[in-house]
Amino acid sequence: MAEKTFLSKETFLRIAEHVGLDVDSTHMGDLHAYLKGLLPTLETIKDLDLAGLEPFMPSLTKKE
Amino acid sequence: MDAKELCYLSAGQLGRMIQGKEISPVEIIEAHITRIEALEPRLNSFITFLPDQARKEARRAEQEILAGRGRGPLHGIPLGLKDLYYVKGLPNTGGTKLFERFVPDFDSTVAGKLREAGAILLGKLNMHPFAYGPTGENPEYGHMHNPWNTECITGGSSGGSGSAAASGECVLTMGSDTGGSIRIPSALCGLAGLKPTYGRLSRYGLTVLSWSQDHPGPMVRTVEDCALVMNATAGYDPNDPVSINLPVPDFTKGLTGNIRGIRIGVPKEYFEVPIDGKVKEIVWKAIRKLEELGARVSEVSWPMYPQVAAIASTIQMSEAAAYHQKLIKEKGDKIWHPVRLRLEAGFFFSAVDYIQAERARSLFTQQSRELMKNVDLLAGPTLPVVAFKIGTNEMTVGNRTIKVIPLLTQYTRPFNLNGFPAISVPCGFSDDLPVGLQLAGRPLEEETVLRAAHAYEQATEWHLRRPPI
Repeated sequence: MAEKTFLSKETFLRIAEHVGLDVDSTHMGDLHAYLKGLLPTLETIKDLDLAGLEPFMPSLTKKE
Repeated sequence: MDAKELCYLSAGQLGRMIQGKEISPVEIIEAHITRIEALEPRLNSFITFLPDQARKEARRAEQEILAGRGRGPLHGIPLGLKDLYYVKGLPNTGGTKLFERFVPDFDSTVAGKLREAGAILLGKLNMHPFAYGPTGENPEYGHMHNPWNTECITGGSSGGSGSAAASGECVLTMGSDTGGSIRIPSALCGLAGLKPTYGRLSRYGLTVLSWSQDHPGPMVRTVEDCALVMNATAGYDPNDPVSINLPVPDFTKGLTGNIRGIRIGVPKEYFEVPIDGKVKEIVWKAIRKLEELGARVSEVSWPMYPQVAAIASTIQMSEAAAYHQKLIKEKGDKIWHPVRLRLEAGFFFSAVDYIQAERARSLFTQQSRELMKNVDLLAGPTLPVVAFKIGTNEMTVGNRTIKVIPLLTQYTRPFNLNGFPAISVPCGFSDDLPVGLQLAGRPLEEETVLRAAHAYEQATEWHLRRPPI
């Protein structure tokens, strides 16, 4: 099975430019490598069944 | 009593001595100033040290108390605040020189309440830059050093609070906790550190890391002192939109030592992640001790526990990037590299990613509430390891090599995500370094958390050990 690619260099640079980061900085290589390590670890959220759920809102004001 | 012993008395003990006119705030403050001056070259707990101001406040406290105008149990007690609590007229660095010129013109609500209670500010405490890291390392203001072994980390991000309270530089310290930043240094430095229910203490006037996961709270040497600080600081604040508008109990009331019948659950998932063998053994001994004291202990399951890191990270990184957006774009190259990477990473999540994480958080919180219908507390390790050498990036625990950030936050983050109260108390030593027991309760049930932690503390002597400094 082909390995899933997280955030290709092209997509990374496009987003970086869009959000206002300095894409010419040598630091961009480090950031891309960091994100490639990070993003796969966050994929588990996609496995959850979130049907019927709203985003969390603090509602701790009532004692249950 | 010699000056060092005096510096190791708790706020509860000192407060009773002050009320009984056995000791003066002036003597107490002087002893602490001497201790700070002696230890700072090795610990580096402080960013701003205020000896003259503290002496002046101590004289004023002494006069007020002698005139019968005592303000309660914290009057005259030495305090240190993590350097992200705004104090009018003092720099608020957030642990980075990028903010060193920022001087707020008002007090954070918590700092103001502690001032009203008569606590005396000795200074503002070192921290991981931007509160964005669990080790207490800081190349700009210098790393914080663990009083139990100064080559080791204090934990973070409230590392200066950890070293100052553990070494007797301060009696009371305040930290803040977004992924464990109160409980991690408390465990590594051998303190009682409480992250209250989200909204119990006002966040107004604290530098933000992640709005929805930031919690202020005390880091002190006894559970009684946690309760005393909670009494002085908890309560509704209209300046904080998530502040809880409910009456505040007397948090010391439940400190009876009686935990008979309390139901404690130990999530089995806690022991399916990397944990040092000795730490595991020590924590289980502590849980058995709670059972001996009358608690009913059972194993429980928290199926979403493995997903917590992903959910919490997505939310934290998105919120941190949003809050610091302007700074990152304009001065990103001046931010310490590992913090910069984490801040910039937040730009690469979509709105959908963030919302999905918030929906997952709802599910996790529902599951946490269901779980805690059958138990009053969850117990387990605060951390899977003891303090390690400054500069360590990854560790091998069991047969797994893991980065220190996920390792240090694996047990603390669930309670930032669901907002439930959680405390770390010392429960033993491994290689002469402290181990922490974490007890977590239902929302707004700090009293139960404090009651169990206090009963455990009083039945053991771990909190009485002193670091060799």
